[in-house]
Amino acid sequence: MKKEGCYVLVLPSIHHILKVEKGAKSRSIPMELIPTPRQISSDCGMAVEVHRDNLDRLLSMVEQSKVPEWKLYCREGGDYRPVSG
Amino acid sequence: MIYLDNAATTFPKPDAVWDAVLRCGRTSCGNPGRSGHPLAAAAAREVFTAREALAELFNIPDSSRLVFTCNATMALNMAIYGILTDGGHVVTSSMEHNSVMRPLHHLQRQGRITLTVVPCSPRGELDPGDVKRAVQADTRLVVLTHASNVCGTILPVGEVKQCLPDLPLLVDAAQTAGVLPIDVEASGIDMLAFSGHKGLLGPMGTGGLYVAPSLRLEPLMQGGTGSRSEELMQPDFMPDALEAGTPDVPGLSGLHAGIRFLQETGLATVRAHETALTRTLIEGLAGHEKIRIHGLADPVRQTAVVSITMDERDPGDIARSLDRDFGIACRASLHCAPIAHRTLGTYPQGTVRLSMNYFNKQDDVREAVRALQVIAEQGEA
Repeated sequence: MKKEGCYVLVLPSIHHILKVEKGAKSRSIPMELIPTPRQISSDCGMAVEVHRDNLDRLLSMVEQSKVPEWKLYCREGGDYRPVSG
Repeated sequence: MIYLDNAATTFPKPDAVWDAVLRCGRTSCGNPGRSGHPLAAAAAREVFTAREALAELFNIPDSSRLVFTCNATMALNMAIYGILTDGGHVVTSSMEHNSVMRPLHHLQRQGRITLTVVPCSPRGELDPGDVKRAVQADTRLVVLTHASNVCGTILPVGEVKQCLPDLPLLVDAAQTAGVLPIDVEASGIDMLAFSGHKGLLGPMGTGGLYVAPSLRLEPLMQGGTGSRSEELMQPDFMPDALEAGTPDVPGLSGLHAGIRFLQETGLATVRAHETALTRTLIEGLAGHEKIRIHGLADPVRQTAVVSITMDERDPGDIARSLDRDFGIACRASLHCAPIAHRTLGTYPQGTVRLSMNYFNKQDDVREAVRALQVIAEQGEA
């Protein structure tokens, strides 16, 4: 699933990915776990994909959680542009 | 067989534990956190949900502060070596297991730490005031067992923390995780080392360590974590900082099933049953002129662990007779805790230790009482 206008959130480890997924589910924030796109470096192999409509709610939840760091990318023209946090 | 060696490892486990191990091994056993394919993701979920379940059980606000180990011994070594990198003074009790005493003794022999062992009473009781009085200007750590593996006496770890709020407290919960309520947040425990295969009813090869957010441990091991692979430095964030290498994913699935069993049954229900078994055993043996119960002989203030001796008889012979003539499995001798036996006055011969769990019946304990009475009357074989 590679949707234009979607954002990809990369987190330090699979623990943090699953923590964000749990938090999003409990708050009914739509998101999806995806294999990390090859243009983006993420060792744990997975990333969080979220539509722009739900991005602010998701990031607000991530900032309140204990995730030590994260990177955000926006899919544009088949590529991924880093978005400053 | 009547199994009364649950302080060594609980047996049997709930069927759900072995079902979970097999299910995980057959359906969810990729390498967690290393790839994006479905089997790796499924394995990662097994590890994550086990971690979250333990965090809930111990009231740990941030589950990433809980790392998995092979057993409580590994967790205690990680904590002791990880926090004492700059040396200093350590305070511990005279009821500790060798998994605490050996690493501390090793560091002391190397001249890297100084050590004060606070004496407990001959029944294994610890006075928190004695711990406070043992503290020096350079004290860096207090290490205490939550309950003795020899006689079951519960130590007042919460009170010690209240006396010494600014000193890191490492609690060895090998005998109490899944047995007594443990609230990390309320008690202020800074590090909690636990075994997965005892009170938590999981498979052997599982255990863990909680580390408070205020502490940073030097890792005992470095290696692959699935994160920051481009760097030669071990990641500094938890849980990866202290979890190098592939974890025992099927074992952790089984551990999670054990925790679910405890939560569904209710920790209070489990404790009440074990207390009732302990009471039957103690009351059945108390007053016998040839049998001596060591420790508190108080089911409420101890775990379901009872140590006895008979005059000068070899505990090994008594255990052998229990096994051979009555089909009762228990453990004799020093229980990897020579310092605790010195405290109880049972060194070097040790004791016969009978330890119950939720799956024991009252009849099991009554049979043990009867068997010990017969052996006592028989005299030396």
